[in-house]
Parts: sequence; C-alpha cells; structure tokens
Amino acid sequence: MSPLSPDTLTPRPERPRPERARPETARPTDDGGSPEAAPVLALHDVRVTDRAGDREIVHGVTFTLTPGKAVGIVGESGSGKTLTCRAVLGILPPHFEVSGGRVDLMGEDTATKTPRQWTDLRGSTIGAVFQDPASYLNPAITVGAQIAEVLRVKRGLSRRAARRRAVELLAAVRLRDPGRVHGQYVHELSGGMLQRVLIAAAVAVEPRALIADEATTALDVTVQAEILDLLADLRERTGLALVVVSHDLAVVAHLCDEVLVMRRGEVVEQGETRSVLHHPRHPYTRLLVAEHEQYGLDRFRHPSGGVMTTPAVKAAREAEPGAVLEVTGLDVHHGRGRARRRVLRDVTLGIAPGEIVGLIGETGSGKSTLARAVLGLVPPSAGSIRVAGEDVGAYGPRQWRALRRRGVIQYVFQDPLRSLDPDLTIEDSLVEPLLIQGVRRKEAAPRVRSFLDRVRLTPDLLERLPAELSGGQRQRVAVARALVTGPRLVVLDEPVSALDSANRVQVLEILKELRASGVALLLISHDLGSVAGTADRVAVLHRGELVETGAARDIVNHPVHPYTRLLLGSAPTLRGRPAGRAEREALRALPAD
Amino acid sequence: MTTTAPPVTPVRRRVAVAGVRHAAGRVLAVLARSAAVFAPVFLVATFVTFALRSLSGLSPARVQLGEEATPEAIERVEAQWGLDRPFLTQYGDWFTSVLHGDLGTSWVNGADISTLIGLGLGVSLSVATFALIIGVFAGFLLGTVAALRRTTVIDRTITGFVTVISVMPAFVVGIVLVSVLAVGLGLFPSAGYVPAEQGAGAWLAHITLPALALSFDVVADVARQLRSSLVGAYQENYVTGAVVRGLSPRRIFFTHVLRNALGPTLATLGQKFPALVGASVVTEWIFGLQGFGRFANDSAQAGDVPAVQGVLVVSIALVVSFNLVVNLVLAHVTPASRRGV
Repeated sequence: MSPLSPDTLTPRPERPRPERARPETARPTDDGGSPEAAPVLALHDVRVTDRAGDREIVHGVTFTLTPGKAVGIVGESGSGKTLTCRAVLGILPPHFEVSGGRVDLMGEDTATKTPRQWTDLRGSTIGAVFQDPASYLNPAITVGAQIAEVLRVKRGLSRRAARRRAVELLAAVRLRDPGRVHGQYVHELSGGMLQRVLIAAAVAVEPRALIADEATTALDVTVQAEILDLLADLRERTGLALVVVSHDLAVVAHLCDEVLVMRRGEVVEQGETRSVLHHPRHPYTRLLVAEHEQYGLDRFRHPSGGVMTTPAVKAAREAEPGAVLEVTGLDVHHGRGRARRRVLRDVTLGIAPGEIVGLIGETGSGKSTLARAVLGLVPPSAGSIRVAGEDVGAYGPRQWRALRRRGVIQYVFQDPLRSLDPDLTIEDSLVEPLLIQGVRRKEAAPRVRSFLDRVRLTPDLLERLPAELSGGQRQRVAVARALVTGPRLVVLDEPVSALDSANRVQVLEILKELRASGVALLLISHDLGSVAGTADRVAVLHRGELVETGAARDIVNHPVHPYTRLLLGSAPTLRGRPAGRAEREALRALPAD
Repeated sequence: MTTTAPPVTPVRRRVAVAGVRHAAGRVLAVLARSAAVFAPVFLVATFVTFALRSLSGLSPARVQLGEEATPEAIERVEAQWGLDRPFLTQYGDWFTSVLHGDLGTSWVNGADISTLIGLGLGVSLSVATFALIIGVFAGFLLGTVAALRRTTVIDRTITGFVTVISVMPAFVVGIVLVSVLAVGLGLFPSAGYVPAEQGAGAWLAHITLPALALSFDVVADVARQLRSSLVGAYQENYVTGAVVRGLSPRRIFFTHVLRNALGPTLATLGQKFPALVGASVVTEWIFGLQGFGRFANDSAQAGDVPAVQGVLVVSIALVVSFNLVVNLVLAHVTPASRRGV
C-alpha cells in the first residue's frame, strides 16, 4: 500500500482484494461500477418478524446493490426501513428475526454466518452510520482512538500506524484540523463533525457497502448537504456502494440510482429514481412528491409558484392596517461580565395581519432568542418590540403577565407531546387558556369545539389524553390551543420538524388557511425548504443578524446574500440541487468571512 | 471547508505533544478542583471537631482529678492545658500542630495521640483494605457475570444472593464466621492481630475473617451497581456502533461497556469507605482487634477529648484522600465528570 496523502482514501482498484473470487469484477469502471459487476449486497424478499408478538413487520424487501451504486429507502418512522437495515447488518433487536427471504453479502447467504463470521464481515465488508452520531461513539474515549481501534483490530496495524491512518481518515472526511479532532471527545464536537467521524470509522477498513440510516436527519441543512456531498464523493472515488435511508425523498433523490418507498413494512413503490420522482404511481409516493412540489422549494420552480393571497386574506389585511409585530433595531445579549456576548444584532422585522413570515436560521443563529424576546422571555438590550401596537419591549413582569393572560401572543413548540400536559384530556388542555381569562367552563367548551373544526380534528378526541393521539393530531391540538384565545400573533418553533409527510402537509395547510382570520404567524425553522412554500415572506438569520428579508418567491429565485445562496444550494429538492458541490463549497467559505 | 490538508508530519507532532499536555493538564485540573473542594471541607470539619470540646463542657481536670476537685485545682489544670485562652487562639494552635502531624496528648494518660492512633490505624487499614479488595473482586465478578447473563437463572441467582448478603449486618456475619470457620473448623484464628512484619501468613490469617465480615456490604453494593450500569451501557447506541464496526464481543465489553459502567461503581466505592471505617468499631470488638475503631470507642467512653478529636481528624483525612483517589480514577475513565460543573 502506498503512502496516502491525507485527503484521499485508497481508490478501490489500487488495492487487490483476495476475497474477491471473480477477476472480472475486481475493477469497477470509472463510472462507478459496470452493470455486470457482481452485487455487493442482494436482498431477496426479506421479511422480518417480531417473535414476541408473532407479527411480521417487514413484508418482503428485494433489491440488488452493485459496487459504486446507491439504493435509497424512503419511509416514515415505523415503515420498517431501519429494521431492514438491521437485518442486513445482522443486528436485529432481541426477539426480531429474518423470517423469510435471504440477504446475500458478496454473494454469500448471511443466514449461515456464525457470530464470529459476522464480526469479521462487519466493518470490513459492510459498515453503517446512523442518526444522532453522538450516541454511536463511546463518550469515554477520544474519537480518534475509536477509529484507530478498528484499524488495529481489523487490519492489525500497530498503535502508531493506526493513529497515523486515523488522522488521515479524519482528513479524508474533510474535517478541518484532523490532528486536533483525533484527540477530542464526543462532547467537544458538533453533530456534523461527529457524523464525519462516524463515517471515517465506518470506512476505515474499506468496506464494500455503507448503510446510512437517517445519517443527516436533525443536522442543519447546510451540514446535511456537506455530509451528502461526502457520501457521494466516497462513492465516486472508492466505489463504495451505498444504502441511503431517509424519511425525506429529496435526500435520497439526488444520491441514489434506485429508490424503494416503504410504508407499514411494505415496499409500495420501487424503481429507478427519476421515474419514481416524475411518475409516482402509489398515492403515498405522490404525497411525498407533492410535499416538495407544493410546500417546499420545488414550488417556486413552477411559473405560478409561491403562496397565493386569497381574497379573504386580502380582506383581513385591509380590515386592520399596520403591522401586528414590529421589531426595530433589536439587540439581545446573553451572559454577563466577560461572558456577555451579543446574540442578536440590529434585527428589524415586521409581520402584517394574515401574513406568514418564515424565520430561517441554523443552530446558534439566534432564531430561538428572537422568538423568546418577542414572547418576553429574554429582555432586549436595545431596540423596540411592538405587538399589536403595544410597546411590549419596555414591559415589566406585571404587564407581561397581563398580556399573556389576554392571550395576544401564543407559542407552539416543536415537540407536541412534551408541550401538552400528559394528565389533562385534550378538552382540558384546550379550555385552559380560556379559564385563565376568567371565561366560565360552560361557555368555554363550545368555543373550543368550534376551533377543532379549523384544525381538522373530530370532537371525539376531546376526551382522550395526549398519549392516545398521533404526533400530527397532537400538533394540531397544540395549534388549536394557541388559537382559542384569538391571538394576534402566533410564534411556531419548528412546528413540522417532528412530523411525517402526511401530517406535515396537513399542518402547513392549516397554517395557510389561518391567514384569513387575520392572525400573524412567525414560522421558525432551520430548513428553508420546509417553510418557504408556506410563507409569504422569508427572513434569513445568520449569526444574529438578519442577512436577507423579502418575499418568499424572490428569496428563493434570486437570493443575494451568500448565506442565503448556500441555504438554497443545500436544501434537498426533488429536481436536483440548484447548486453544484463546488459552488456550495465556494459559498461556504464566503459567509464565514 | 478546506480540502487542502496540511502535510502529515507536523500534524503528527502536534498530536503527540497535545496528547501529553492534555493528559498532564487533566490530572492537574482534577487535583486542583478536588483541592478546592476538599480544603474548605477539611477546615469546616476540623473546626466543628474542635468546637466539640467547648460544646461538651468536658475538661481534663475532671478526667484527671475526678469529681471531688476544687475549683482552684481545675483552673490550674485547665491553664496547664491552655484551655483558658480564647477559643480561636486554641483552634489556631491546634490546627497548626495538626498540619504538622501532632495531634496533642491524651487527657487520660498523657501519651502522644499520633502514636496511639498510628498503632491502631495499622490494624484497621489492613482489615479495611483487605475488605475493599475482597469487595471489589467479588463484586466485580458477580456484577459482571450477572450482567452478561442478564435475565437468566444465573443472573437471578446472583441477584438473590447479593440481596441476602446485603441485609446481613457485619457483626452478625462476624459472629457466624468466628463460630464456623475459627471455632468450628479451626481454619483461622478467632481473634487478635499480628503485624505484617512478623510474617505475612500470620498477618493474613488474622485479618481474613474481619475483612470478610466487613466486605459483604461492599460486595453487595459493587455487584448491584456494576450489574445495573453494565446492563444500561449495553443498551447504549455506542455498543451498536462498535458492533457495526466489526469489533468482537470481548473487545466491546472491555473497551466500551466496562469503561462507561465503571463510573457509578467507583462512585459507590467512594461512598463505601467511610462506612467501612464506621463498621470497624463493631467488628474490632468481635475479633478482639486493638484497632482504630476500638481506640475511638475507648477514648469517647473515657471522655478523652483530644483523642477523639485526633480520631476525627484522621478519619476526615482518610475519607478525603480516598475520595481524591476515586475522583482521579473517575476523571480518567469518564469524560463527563471532566467537563466541570
């Protein structure tokens, strides 16, 4: 093996692999594997059964993966996509088993493998990375040592050689200052960096296939794009075959040659990526596509794209001229003394009645601080906040309490389960804001019922507890609870992030309809793509400053600030990424100054 | 994100240097933080200890002269001991000599307390250390086996056994051990102590039974804590991560699971040590050892305040230094505790 420069992994052809029996398959061609190449991984009607409940959970998955190719599995939680991956890796949870079909790894049936053979296969033939990378690394050992460990155990490298190779691998997954990262612990690194570390550990002994199970979920959009770029890069350079699993069709779309759409353990649609995207046949696939085309960035690629201002909305706006929310020159500082730092700087933002403004920013950009300032939870250090004409920025605790009791501003959290009292029935939760205002229970109950209809919930849910509802129903209850007091402004923090596609579409649709009532909505998200299709205007927050504000359509089609361009270039869409990898990298360098 | 990486050599050198500096700095940081916690603890504890004399109203004159003493005689004796001076001056003097290792002299017989404690401490530390060793070994063995065979008959048997021994007080265990192993079978001497200098075999024979009696509680606590943390660690995602990277079950146990499960178990051990010192008072009576606990008991009964103060100071120092050691080991195995408060 020749010495490697830190930014390359060994291209596959340079390394003769003795375990490969057929010489004609030993060299993948430059375009990433010829069609006749022997499959790395082949699933034939794989079924997984829960022995405890004697239920079949996965009802037959079939696909073939050749070197340098990528297969995508799309489906919401509970669709069986993760169980399928675990079956392939031989790590099904206790009392789950492969009850039918077969999994072939490098042409050999894995059902016959002993535990010891499995140990040999994992890491060197097939690897995997998962969602929440921090939890998949040992918190007590440096991350570098965990990569070196794999190299020492599986390659027999000396301590010193393993360390050197681990640093090279960290450089190969494009981590800045790999030498430093090598000696760091999990809690010292960000999610994106940890996912790179996990990928480095997974490809350390150059497996033939890598499973990426929701590997970019919960990461910032720009970081997600970087990780996807890295996977694409590994695939091109080393012929690594990929199984990409995601709940988001768009994530899978630009990376994979073939897509499987799973629902409730069933593969409802399977085929070449482009044909699935352009001619979805199953209603569920159509829903996944529609989510992007009607609520995401793809909406703006149509000539008539963007949010329609219906006559009702127009009327609501004209009925009450003037902004509901007016933030002017807002500065917010956190901490005191030497630790004091500015989180928001000179933020100016207004929302008109019946308007939805999308506030976009990544982790640490200050978007939650802005929401908290508007809600009176953090005091502004400069500037003014006016809500419905009242200068709330100058309010003291007593005035805030009075304002909150009137329910002028309401808030909807990301996690609907934790924001609803688990011991209160849905009716009790919905009535509570009215009871606080002094409305008698008898009068409050019918008012609550009228709101149920607006969020498309049936009255029979009123007697249930939050735990008995689905995630989408809970979030709609949370929206209804925010509305019962007739607020002027509702702040929604990532309201659809925790929801699956069907519920996401439903909640976004409800929000759009709300505009007709004249309520102003501030929709906070880290993902421009998920809210752009619902918002009238978009404000982009970057490092505490509003770098760009404008009509959603203009921002999406003509972004000016480099950070906005990077956000747009990173957001996964069905029609391919607007920006190429090189362009994204140039943009990444820019906003960092 | 840059794609141009620096040349390999400087990176490696930086890694090595940073690694060494990292490790040394870590130990120093833990020491400094522990000292910052322990210094006030030691100060307050010694102050309270010293104030015990004033609060108890005990006087050397009563101890030496008996109940019939005249007020003049009492004053004379108290002046002789320096008890007529202001309280804080007394404390200052006493604290300074404590720092020099001088714990004063006994009210009862005028002997040097440091020497007396030193004699008893050898006995007690031998027993306590041996008890700790038995506790750690047996506890780790039982806890590990139970965790690896969790929910099986083996696990249930161990858990049952551990529960039974955890509810047996040391003095009951001690009496049973003496009557069965010493009196009945004659395997061990039933009482007394032989210093290690006079033969390791005899020394071990004499401390085995008291150490065994004391160790039951440690075995039970270590085994239970280790079992539950191991079971918890096995459910963590990083174990799945290690499995997927193709590491063997043995390797996963030693480098990943055990390491993370060690923290709570070590913390338990740190709390166990003061209990061992406390329990030694009872066991030393049963096994006829002239140990530290016995000395503490005798001094308290005799109203020998300086001796009791000396016992307390030594106990505090023991517990504090044992916890310091535990903290250093903890800081090495768990990164979370290193993050600071």
